[in-house]
Amino acid sequence: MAKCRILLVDDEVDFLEVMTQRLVKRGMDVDTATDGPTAIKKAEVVLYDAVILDLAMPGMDGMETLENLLRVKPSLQVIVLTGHATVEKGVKAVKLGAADFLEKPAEIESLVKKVEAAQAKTLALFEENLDKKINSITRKRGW
Amino acid sequence: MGTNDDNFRERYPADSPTSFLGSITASVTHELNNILSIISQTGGLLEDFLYGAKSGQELSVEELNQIAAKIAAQSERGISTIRRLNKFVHSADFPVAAFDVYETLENIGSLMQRIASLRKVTIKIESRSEKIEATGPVLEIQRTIFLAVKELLAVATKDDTISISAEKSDSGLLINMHLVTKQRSGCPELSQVSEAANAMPAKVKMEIKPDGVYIVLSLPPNYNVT
Repeated sequence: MAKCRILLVDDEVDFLEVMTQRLVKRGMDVDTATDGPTAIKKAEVVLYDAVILDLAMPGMDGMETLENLLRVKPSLQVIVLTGHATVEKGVKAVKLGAADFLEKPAEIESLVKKVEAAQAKTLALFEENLDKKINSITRKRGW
Repeated sequence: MGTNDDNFRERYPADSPTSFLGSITASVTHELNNILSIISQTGGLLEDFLYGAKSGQELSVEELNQIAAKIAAQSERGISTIRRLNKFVHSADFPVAAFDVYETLENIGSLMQRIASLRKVTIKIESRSEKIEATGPVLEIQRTIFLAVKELLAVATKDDTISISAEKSDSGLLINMHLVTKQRSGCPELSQVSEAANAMPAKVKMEIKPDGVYIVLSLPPNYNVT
């Protein structure tokens, strides 16, 4: 599978730094954002396989950031990290459209598995979209 | 007769001492969770390097130093957070006790900073010109300050500051809480703060001025302010 490109969103800079190093060692391309608005700007211009998003952030919180990310890229695969020790917030995020959720501190291997699953889903959606476009063109041209 | 939910809400209101303790503890434990996440992942990064070394990759001393520094910094942050929480919970040891006013303000201010940060507001304890000591219900005083700051946060806008200071007065001790803002969203509701103050007993008043909102908690002379 092609190199996975992900966006990490968390207001804790030290967390972003160490997670970036660990995920790069596992073969991923990693971008970071320390707040919701920056994450949304990046997601608008870059096609990410997955976004890993902390739910508790100052200013625009994780839920609002999630809604805005999905507004700009409806098929974006967002994995939320909840530090609230409740399944409730994660379930709410999934109902809003998140692909999955994990509780902080997350085991790196669990996170990698979820990212790989998100990448596979992104690819599947891309291919599905491509098929639809090709079928639409062939129908219009009568081929 | 109200629903079960209504009965519970009446019995356990949002401004209750239990709710106050819950809010502070939730905020602190969230911060500790973030700190432990960083330490855990940094330890994991060290394992990644060691695994690489077993496969023949060179270990970089600089990278190892950075890992050590990160763990040390986060550990210090965690220790500082725990100390503040410990100081706070011990203020419940006795209903009435002697306390250093500014130390108490600095402690409760730091504990509330994360809650304020979520709204992008900074809490600032004004530097002391003199040491002020008092005797009183320390936990209740902190709860009243917490409720007042919560009301100020409710009308604050991004990048505002809440400045907290204390001064001796002829009538005892004044704790001043000033929301420095040019564009507040509404007017703070003082009923919960007043109720908490009256129970101590103390008085609270609010003034709205062009540079923001002032809430002043006035503790009477029997608080032995020195």
